[in-house]
Amino acid sequence: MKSRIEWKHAAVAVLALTMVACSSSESGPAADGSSSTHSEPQAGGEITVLTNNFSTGWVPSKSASNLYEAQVWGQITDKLVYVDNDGKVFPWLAESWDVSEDGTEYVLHLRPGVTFSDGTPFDAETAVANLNIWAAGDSRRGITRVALFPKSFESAAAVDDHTVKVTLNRPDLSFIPSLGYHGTIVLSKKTLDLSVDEQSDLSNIAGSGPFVVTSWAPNQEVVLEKRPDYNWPAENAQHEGQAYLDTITFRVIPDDLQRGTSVESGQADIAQNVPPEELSAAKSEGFVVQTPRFFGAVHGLQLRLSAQHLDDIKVRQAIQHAINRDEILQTVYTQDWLPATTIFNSNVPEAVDLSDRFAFDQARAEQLLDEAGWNQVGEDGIRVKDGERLSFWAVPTPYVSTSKLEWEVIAQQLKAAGIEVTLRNADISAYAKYGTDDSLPFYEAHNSLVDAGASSYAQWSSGGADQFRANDPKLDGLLNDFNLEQDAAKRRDLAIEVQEYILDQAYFVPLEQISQGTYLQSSKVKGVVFNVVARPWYYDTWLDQSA
Amino acid sequence: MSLPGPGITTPGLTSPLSAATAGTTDRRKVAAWRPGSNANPYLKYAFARLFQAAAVILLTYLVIFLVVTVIPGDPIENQLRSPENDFTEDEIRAVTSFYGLDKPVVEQLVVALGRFFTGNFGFSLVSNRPVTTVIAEALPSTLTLASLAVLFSLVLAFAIGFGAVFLPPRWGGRLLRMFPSLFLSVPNFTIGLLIIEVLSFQLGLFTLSDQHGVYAAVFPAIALAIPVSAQLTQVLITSLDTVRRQPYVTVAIAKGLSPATIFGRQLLKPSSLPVVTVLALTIGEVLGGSVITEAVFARKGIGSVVETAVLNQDVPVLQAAVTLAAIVFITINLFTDLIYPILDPRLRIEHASAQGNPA
Repeated sequence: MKSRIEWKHAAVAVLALTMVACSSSESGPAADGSSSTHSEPQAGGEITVLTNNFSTGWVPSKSASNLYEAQVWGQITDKLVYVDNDGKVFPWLAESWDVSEDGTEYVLHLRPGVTFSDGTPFDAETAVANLNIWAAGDSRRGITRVALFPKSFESAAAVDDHTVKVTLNRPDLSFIPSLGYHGTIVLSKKTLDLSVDEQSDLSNIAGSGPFVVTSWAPNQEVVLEKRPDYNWPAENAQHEGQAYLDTITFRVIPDDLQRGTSVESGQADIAQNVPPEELSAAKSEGFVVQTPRFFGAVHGLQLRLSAQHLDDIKVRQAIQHAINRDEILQTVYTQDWLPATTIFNSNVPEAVDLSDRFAFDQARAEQLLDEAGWNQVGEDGIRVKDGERLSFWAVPTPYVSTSKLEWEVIAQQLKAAGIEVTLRNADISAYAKYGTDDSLPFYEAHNSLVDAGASSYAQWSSGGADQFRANDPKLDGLLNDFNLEQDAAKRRDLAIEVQEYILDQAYFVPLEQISQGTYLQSSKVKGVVFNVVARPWYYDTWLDQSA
Repeated sequence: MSLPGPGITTPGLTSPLSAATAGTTDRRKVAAWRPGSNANPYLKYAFARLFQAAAVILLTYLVIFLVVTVIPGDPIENQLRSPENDFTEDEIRAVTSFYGLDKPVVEQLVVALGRFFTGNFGFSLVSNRPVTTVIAEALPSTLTLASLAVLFSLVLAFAIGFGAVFLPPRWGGRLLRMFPSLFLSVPNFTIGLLIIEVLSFQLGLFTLSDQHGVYAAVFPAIALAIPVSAQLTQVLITSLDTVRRQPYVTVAIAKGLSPATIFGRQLLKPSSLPVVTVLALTIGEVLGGSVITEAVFARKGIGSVVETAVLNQDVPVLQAAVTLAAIVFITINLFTDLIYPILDPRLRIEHASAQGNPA
């Protein structure tokens, strides 16, 4: 009897503790982001940025384009040009450039007076060394080139101290913008000459960025301090001279919810990759949500015609129309995500709105399946033809964190039309194997672009990765023309034709526009800008103490 | 993380709870080991143990290599083959050959063995940091966490043990006896998450974004200590109960000594012996638990090094980290084996008589 009473006490104690734990979600700071929009930027202050991991480490050729490490690279290094989130190009370390008549020679005029944090100057020779590493890497030293760097690059030579001549093997309009995309961070000559093992120590790396590394701990944190003599921001910057913030501390917290809650409880200022379901709650409490668009293909399904049942265009079109994108956006994402309008994200200049071609229409989907001969329905609701069930399998990509959730919704939607999808799990190694499997029905697209023409050719033509396994000469021809056309107007027509053709053939089922890296920000943090590949630049960032 | 079975270094201890009794008999056998030999049996015993220990460490190193090599993929290829990239097969081959990953498994094994015997564990395949640096940078943080956790679990065990034996059942004595089962059945990540939610996000006693110094280690150490203390507490309570029924304790109670005095003077030392044995096993648990605790509290340390290495198939780092764990575990067990007779005079008597009367 007595022990029972004691149990009750224990139960009450545990319950009380749990209630304390649960009440947390209602007691976050009630910051208001509206009152302070007109104040002037103030210098000074420190911010803490939380991220998933820094496990790839600091060998530049390995992590410069990585979602997580690139946040740090973007503050300690500069690029030759800055390409903003809308795809507009601004001069940076390259002040200006001239193009030859035939489009195969570029002369870059470099900004004088730029120095690296190791004291060495930025000059033409350094720029040439960087360009060569980006284009070709150095496999004998284990250094890879920059992925997707234009294959048109042939050579670079220093003309004088601050002039570089670049020769291309064919005219390429994407050459200049690509200098502002992934991986093309400018490093000092000394840094480039280090072995990969020496480069792995972040303290050995010298860039010319507005911040320098003061301390770092592997896969745990990086502390940056502003460079007092910095005075060469990109032309789109809102101010000159040194950065506003005194220090930036990047800290790894692997758990998604803990990162979000840390910002909500005022323990940090910015959290990367907070799950969508957490974002709406935080937003209503006055926190700022950033979902920078990403320069690339939309998140979507590339259908492989080599897989069972997918050689039939009606089945592919049925899948296209059976998927309800609004429902996916509502269940898996928030209003900060945009629906796909074509196969490219809408900040890609070539993107056109073709959303009516793959709109949700279940009746249409069912009609298409009936026409394709899948007109009998089994007891389990799955369509049958000649004794065979209309069944597919799918492997959610480990590269998109919401992919699994999204597939669960898609599987339900397809089931409503009589199509079965069973899901398999894969880690990165296993997924790489699936990627080369001809019998894989759906391979998710979420790749970045450097140039829509070159990337489309690389991904979809039979001379490239051949993701559709379509064996379609018309597609190959279109992709080839789109890749090589240099006349802007003709190129635009070809771009539209490619998008229409791929959607009409239902080779590609667009889902939503990719926002790579979502950021939850305290309302005090102002002036964060994102470049074309959705990486943040904290040069103009300042802390509004009145917020 | 799997650790070498305790059977090798602590004979007969299949269940930690049986340690209290089993340990004593086993060590008596040990003391009488090869009684006819002229050499000091302890010395021989110690050498045999050392040899076994070295063999286990080498095996651990090899097994980790084989397990990770059997799994498809490696960190270099995984990175190069990301759908984001456009590297050709030739380019991928050139880089994997730079890291020696294109060599046959047997050849890679020889290289790995060479590293083991020279103590140069190579470089991380992911971050390219020297493996010894990776380990050396992570070690202090884990040592702080582990020593605090062991300290807290001892304090907890003795506090609960004292309460369980001396508090009247209605005043909590009975309730306290349930604590070991309760502590053992709550996973330490649950405790960790509760601590973070209440003590960090609610009360602001610490932040996850600043983990420097000993203070920051206190909270994860509590989370780690609670489940770890369960075994210690259970063994201590059982042992205290046994000793308390001894006639000399009844005499002490009859003399009117206070519970605290009886606990401190009469019970503590004889009841601690089994605790020492279990404590050695606990070190393994602390090492294993630190993987989870470090993950939950976003702490850097050996645990998080192991976790990242497993996720990224970073063989050199994983081999070194797990081997280190094996070395620690085995060394502590060896140490326990060797100091046990010093703590228990009865074993010394056995030892002396065994030498005096060769069978």
